[in-house]
Amino acid sequence: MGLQKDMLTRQVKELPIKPGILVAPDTTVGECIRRMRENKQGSVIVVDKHGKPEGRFSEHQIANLIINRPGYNEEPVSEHIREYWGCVSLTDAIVSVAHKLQTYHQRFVVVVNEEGRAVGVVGQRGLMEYIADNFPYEVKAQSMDAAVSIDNREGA
Amino acid sequence: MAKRQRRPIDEGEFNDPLKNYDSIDVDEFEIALREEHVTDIETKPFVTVSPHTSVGDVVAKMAEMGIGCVLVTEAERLVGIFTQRDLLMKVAERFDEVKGLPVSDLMSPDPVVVHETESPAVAINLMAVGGFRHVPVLDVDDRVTGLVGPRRTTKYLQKYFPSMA
Repeated sequence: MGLQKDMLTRQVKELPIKPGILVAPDTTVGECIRRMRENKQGSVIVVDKHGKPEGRFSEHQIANLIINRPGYNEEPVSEHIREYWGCVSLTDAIVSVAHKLQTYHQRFVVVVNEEGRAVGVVGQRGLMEYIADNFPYEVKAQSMDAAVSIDNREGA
Repeated sequence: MAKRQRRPIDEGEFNDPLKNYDSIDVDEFEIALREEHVTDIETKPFVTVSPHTSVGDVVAKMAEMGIGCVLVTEAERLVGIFTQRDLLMKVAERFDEVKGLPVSDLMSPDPVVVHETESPAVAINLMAVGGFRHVPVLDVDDRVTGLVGPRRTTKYLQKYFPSMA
């Protein structure tokens, strides 16, 4: 099966889904940043008491907070949840991830189960990993010059 | 002289060795990944700063422009990259301490790059296997001409899935 057809038919559950950092809406922004730093992840998912996603907070928002919102560290993350975002279910086609990333201008989408509970996140890097795994000869055979350090890597 | 006549082909004589060969199902997307250039992914605009620019000014610029990355250049040569991941790991919660420092103190030096003539597959390799989200693009003289990032790459992918657009 060609890669194009593959991405139209295979499901999100076959992508490398990360567990994601789930936080309650009253968690402070400072705590969210601390957890993102500890886990080397660029985002948290804000969930309600049932584990259903309400929104997201990502490292992309930090620059604006630093410059325009002194004292942001103590504010609840619920005040900074991004309005527009998308979810995919485990059984959606892989291509729907690319679609949501593009439509909502996000770096990642939340993956939910049949009950609508957040089960993880998948982002642009997960998509690239999937393509590299299914296109190994052309993609993985490319040489890389720089040494890769875990600390320097950017992830979802 | 009588014209030579072609002898009709007797199919019983020729056994095609490729008769049962299943060709690889290679689609347009795979061909594009291999044969297009990285510049077929949108690579502009991009923002550059000098190594002496203060961290405070860089963060202000990132906030103002809503960007996730700046390229640090000196004499038209790429010397480093400062991304929102550097912001998260090195600046957040200690902004007042570091805002006066030159960005060269906190940037990631000598980032991995891709050249204009390389294929999109190379950029994907760097992102997927190398774990780099932003990859600067250089020309043949190693001058910075662009930047490939997550948004631009997913936009490129979507070109091959128009029904999802």
